[in-house]
Parts: sequence; structure tokens; C-alpha cells
Amino acid sequence: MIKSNQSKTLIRFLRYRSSQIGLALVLIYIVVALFAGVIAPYSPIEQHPKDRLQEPNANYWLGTDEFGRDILSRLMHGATNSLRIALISVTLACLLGSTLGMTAGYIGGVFDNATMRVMDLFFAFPAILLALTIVAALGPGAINTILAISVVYTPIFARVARGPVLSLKNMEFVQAAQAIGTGHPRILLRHILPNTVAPIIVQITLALSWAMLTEAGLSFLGLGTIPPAPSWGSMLSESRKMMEIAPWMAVFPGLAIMLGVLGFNMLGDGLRDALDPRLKN
Amino acid sequence: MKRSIILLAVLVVAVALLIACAAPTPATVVQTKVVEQTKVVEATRIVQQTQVVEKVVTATPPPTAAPKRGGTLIAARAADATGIDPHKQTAFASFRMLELIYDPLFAFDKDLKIVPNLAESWKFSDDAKTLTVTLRKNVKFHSGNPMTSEDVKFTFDRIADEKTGAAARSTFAGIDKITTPDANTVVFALKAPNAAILAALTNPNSAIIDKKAVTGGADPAKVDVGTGAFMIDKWDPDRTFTMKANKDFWLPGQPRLDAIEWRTIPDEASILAGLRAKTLDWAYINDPRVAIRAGAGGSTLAISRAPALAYHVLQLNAKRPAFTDLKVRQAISCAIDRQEVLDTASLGEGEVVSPATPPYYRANFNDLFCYKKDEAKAKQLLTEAGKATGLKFKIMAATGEPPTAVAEAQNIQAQLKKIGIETEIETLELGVYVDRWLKADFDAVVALNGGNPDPDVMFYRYWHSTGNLNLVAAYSHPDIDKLLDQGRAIADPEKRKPIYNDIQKKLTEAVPWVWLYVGYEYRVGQPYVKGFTPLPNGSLIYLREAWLDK
Repeated sequence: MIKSNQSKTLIRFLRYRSSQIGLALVLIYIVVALFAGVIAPYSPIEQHPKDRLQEPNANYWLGTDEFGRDILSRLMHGATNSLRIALISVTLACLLGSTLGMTAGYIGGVFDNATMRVMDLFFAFPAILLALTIVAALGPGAINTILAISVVYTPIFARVARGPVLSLKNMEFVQAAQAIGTGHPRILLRHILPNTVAPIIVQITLALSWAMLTEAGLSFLGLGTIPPAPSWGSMLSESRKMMEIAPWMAVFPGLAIMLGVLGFNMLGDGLRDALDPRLKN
Repeated sequence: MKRSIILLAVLVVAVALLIACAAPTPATVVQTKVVEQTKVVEATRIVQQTQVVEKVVTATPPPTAAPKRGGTLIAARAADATGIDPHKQTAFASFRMLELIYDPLFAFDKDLKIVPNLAESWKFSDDAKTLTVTLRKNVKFHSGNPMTSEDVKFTFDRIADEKTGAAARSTFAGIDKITTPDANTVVFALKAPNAAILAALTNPNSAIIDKKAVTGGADPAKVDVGTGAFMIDKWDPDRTFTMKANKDFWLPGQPRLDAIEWRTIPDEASILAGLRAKTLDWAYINDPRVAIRAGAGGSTLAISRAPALAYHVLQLNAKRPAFTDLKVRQAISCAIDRQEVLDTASLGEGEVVSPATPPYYRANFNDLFCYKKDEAKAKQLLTEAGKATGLKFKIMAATGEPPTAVAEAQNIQAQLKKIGIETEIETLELGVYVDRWLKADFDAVVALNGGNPDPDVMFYRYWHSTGNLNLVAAYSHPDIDKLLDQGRAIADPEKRKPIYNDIQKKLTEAVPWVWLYVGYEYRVGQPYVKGFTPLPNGSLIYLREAWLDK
């Protein structure tokens, strides 16, 4: 029964064009990010001053920057950087946010109210502004960027996780579990969590794309990844002034950010449609 | 819908191919190469043609180019003045405005020779301890009051008064007494010989102000009490600064313009866009990466660039454990190819420079320690210092000031890595950076420090043990102290040059800093803006000679 449900979902997911494209983009992105060290033709920070500002050519497929660093290698390692930051920060946000949201929804009352009002407070700020404030206060760097992104996306997970719990906690199987004396943590983990997983998974894929974008945005402003480590955002920002003399320096990081974010977004949309029971036909 | 999906799929495949490193077939490689070569050839041809055309134009200057008078110059720059009290400003952006409104006693000509300005002539006593200045007659303040020796004395009394908070107070602390034998003569009695005081008297910080107006209640922070070629018409801070011509200016026939309207446009790329769209007549630009675009692609803009006096430098903090050992500092100096830093960070827009940046006082690189990269020597020095491996330090850089700072740091990092030195770049917002710089709270820092046509003004504050920035320089030596005192007591440039040469030799051997390069000062304008002479110290005083040929 469960198996056939899962395979039905999978089939439904794969039927959508947008999920196919999203999946392909995300897979390419992950493979590049994981194997950047192996497949990148050069070191991302090695400078070749004699070959600086070269157009895309046989030696440097996507050209070089003002230090003669290979753009392709920097983009590949930039993928590793952005995936690492996005994954860690979304994992943190997801763990913290869903735990808070689920417990708040399950316990209810004052605890629920207090937790969710604090979350609302964070929600009131535009995401990038809040991230900017946190990084500006803590200083630039990978760890602070991760912290900032997790803080910004925690409230979303709290909300997403809390919603289903509110209705689930009054369902018969939960009441039955309570009646036979199952402990609250066990009820949350065994009975409620499995039923909230779907929206959380969708949220994770969407949050990954936002996290990538936020990292790129912070690095663009000089507050994210510290040079010379490659980051798509800082590559775009460095190349902005040289758009006219070296357009390849800006075009490729821009494309990389666009396609990466687009991939996770389409994947998320596809997953949402596939996992939404109301859309079952 | 379907079409867009197919399009997307094509895009994805293309990117997938690029990212997955699918090697292009040899045939394509050859083809692209050929295409590129023809492109390059075409490009050079076009460039050569335009160069020829340009030469023809410049070779036949219009013989009747008598300057026209009148008109308003619409000018732009990235930062506005921070205030208009000439004695209190320290920012370059403020000087650029104030030097048009106020006159100091002396000025620099285009060769950076000191020429009299409000002064008509001057004379040093033989011991260089008494400076007698004869003032120009017929100079009037913007209020109409005539300028006399009383105003000069009043000006320097105001600068010396602690309550004023004048920026140049310590510079002129060496003035013992000022006397005014008659209305056109001022005698400065100095505590110690100081011929370099003339250079300090060219700065807007020593501009002569109107005694009658100020004692009558006019506040220089709010109103214009100067004698300059232009007077303040309207100042809307951070937006527009409008100046109108001073009709009673002491140089006959100048200024030629009726007015200048300065606009503040923080993004230099937008200034360039304004020039291209012809909404601006003239501008000055700092970022070489923006400036080199001004002449690209059949642009008609006239661009002048002059080597600046302000210099890019890697300051090592010799008081920090990493750099207490002279050999470590020397190794760093030998490991850095200065031209490479310039080529990568500033796209080659500038010149490698000795510690003294005014052209006359620049030392010959052959006399200086390790001005040519010598990696073997660098490694050997590090080994002798016992730091062949494991030396690590942080390089501090401000984001955006200068715009090339982080790029310079990255190239230096890559070069030092080759001799096994690990560095970490610390990028800071300008305000925090300046605070830490002033407290010498750094291992190493990439900085752009102001230069001066006079080497005494450049060196004394950093390298004399009593200099007000010696803490930041973090190095001093009795020999250098002695030479600096000697240098400022001599007026004759011929005799001063060897002294400052010697100082530069000693400094590059001790490597408290690694002097890198000077960039260019860019002035970009429409071709009809004529008559302006740029100065290497960035001064705009010769806008008084500019005119509009339209």
C-alpha cells in the first residue's frame, strides 16, 4: 500500500516537465559541486598573470579574470561553496524550525503563542535585509553566512511544520497512541512527523534555492565568502565594472546563479505538485 | 508553453555540456581560433586607423583658438565636500571644491614647482628660519574687502588656535611668530629651519580668509570668506554644488567660465554613462576599471590621465611578531613583483614607484632594495630567518577604498604563497578600517596613502620618530630621523634630492612597507571643454583657465 503510494508519487513527479528539468539541473549542479576538485581544469585561486582577461578559448573554456584565474574552475568550485553553505544552513534551519514548529503546535497554549510570535517577528523583516544585518554585525565569512541564512529561514520551517500538527494532534491515531500511554516525544517522532514530511521536503528544496541566492547576494555585497575563495556572487560583483571589456566574467556566473536557483525552484514546484494529495487524479 | 520548455531544455543541455567538460572536437577548436585571429587583426586595424585620425587632428590645432568666455560647466564626481571651512577639511573631495573658492599663499604649477599665488614673491633667510612673503596687491575677498597682511596673520592665528580644530595645526606648529611690517609683507619666524613649509602653504588647509568678515560674525563653516576664482552660489550637500565666477579675481581674464555646477553621483559607472549621454560636460574618476572604459568603442570623450602622487602600498607592521625579523620583511619585498600587482589589480593603469612619488624625487629602482622580484633570494632570506615554512599573517583591506584594494590583496596573497607564506585577507568596511589603521591594529594592510610634491611632507609624518603617524608606520631609525631633519632645513632641490634618495634607500632596505605603485588621476570630459591643466596631486585649481568651445 505504502509502496504503491510512493511509486505513484514518483511517477506523478516525473511526469511534469518542470520537475524533469529541475531534477536535471539540480543533478548537474550537485555532481559539479561534489567533483569540482576532480573535474575542474585548474585550481580556482591559482593566478596566471600572463593569461589575464582572456576571452573564452581552448585553454580557458570560459575565459579568465583579471588575475588570469580560470572562470570555469572558479564556477565549479563556486558551486561547491554555494552548495555547502546552502545545505548546511538549510539543514540547520530545518532542524531548528521544524522542531520548534512541531512542538509548538503539539503543546499549544502559551508556548505555542510565544514561539510563533517570535517567529513572526523574524518574518516581519525582508529575508535579505535580516541576513545582511546579521552578517554586518558578525562580520563576513562562511560560518557567519551560514548562521545568518539559517536564522532567516528558521521561521518558515516552523510555520510549515506547525500547520499540519494542529490538525493531526486531534486525529484518532494520535489520540489512540496517547490513550495507550505513548510518550509525547515518541508520538511526535513516530506518528506526527511522518505525516508532515511532505511539505517540509518541498520547503527544503525551495529554501535551498533561496539560500543559494542569499549567499550569492551577500557575497556580491562583499559580506559573504571571503576572497580569494570563489563564490558566484562575488565573481559577479567583481566583474560588474568590467562588463564592457570582459563580458564573459559576468555572464557565466550570472548564468550559473540563474540556472542553479531555477533548478531547485522547479524541483520544488514539481515535488509540491506530486506530493499534494489534493492534486491526485 | 511547450516551446519555452524546449528552449529551456536546450539551454540546460548547453550548460550541461559546458559544465560536464565535454571536450570540443578538434575541428571546432581550429575554427574558433581562426575566427578569433581575424577578429584581433580587425580590431588592431581599426585601432590603428583611429589613432592616425587622432594624430591628424592634434597635428593641426586650430590656429585661432582664442579661449571663449562664459558658459556653465556641468561637472560630476563621486563624493561631495564634507564641509566648507577650508581649515577643517581633510577629505580629498573637500579639497577639490575648496581650492576653487579659496587661495593659499602658494600653488604648484603643472611641473609641481612651487609658484606664488596670493604671494607675489618670497624670500628665505640663509638659515631657513625666517620666511618673508610679499603679498600680491589688488586681491579682493568675495565680500569686496581688500586682502592685506592682517588677513594672513589672522588666518594663521586661527589655524594655531586649538579651539578652531584646524587640520593643519600641527603642520604649522613650527611657526614661532608672525609679524606684519606693512600691509603687503608678512614675516614668518620659524622655530627650526623648515624649507618644506612652502609646500604646506599650497594646501587649502592654509587658505587665507577674510578677517573683517569673520570678526564681523561670518562663520567660515557656513559662508564663503575666500578670494578664489569661484564663489559659492548654492550648496545642496551630496546633491549639487554651484559656483559662480568671481568677477574681481586677481588674475585678469580668469576664470573664463561663468559658473560650475557640480553634481554628486556616487557610482562612477553612472558618471561615465552621464558623460556618454552628454548630460555631463566633465568629471573626475578614480576607479581605473571605470576610467579605461571611457575611451572604448569610438568614444569622443577627451580623457586625460596623469600619474597620481597618492600611492598604493603594502604596510607591514614591524611591531607584530610576524615581522619583527628584518629578514622576513625583506623576503616579502623580494617575493612581490610590483608590476604584477599593478597589472592585475589596476589593469596596468599606473606606474611602479619608489617611496617618494613626486617625479623629481623618485629614486632609481636600481638603488633600491629588491625592486625587481627575486624569488630565490626571498626563499633564502626566509630560510635564514628560520621561517621557511609556517609563516602566516592577515592582510587587512577596506572594501571599496581604494576600489582596487581587495584585488591587490589577492594578488599579493598569490605571490607570497609561492615562497610558502600563508595569508588571510580581512575585508573591512571603511570606517572600521580607518579606526584600526590609526591604532596600527593590523599585521599587514593594503592602503592608498596620500602623496605630496614635497618629500618632507610625505615622509616626516610617517618616518620621523616624532611624526604624528609614526605609530601607524611602526618603524623609525635614528639615521632616518637625522636625514629628515636635514632635508627640511635645505631649500635647494638639488641639494635635497640626495638626502631623500638616501632615505628611500634606507627605507626599502628596512622594509617597514612594500611600496607598490601609483595609479592615474583621470579627468574625462566632452571634447569642447578646453584649457584645463591637470596636476598630479589631483588639484583642480586650473579649472579657472578652462573654457567651453561651443
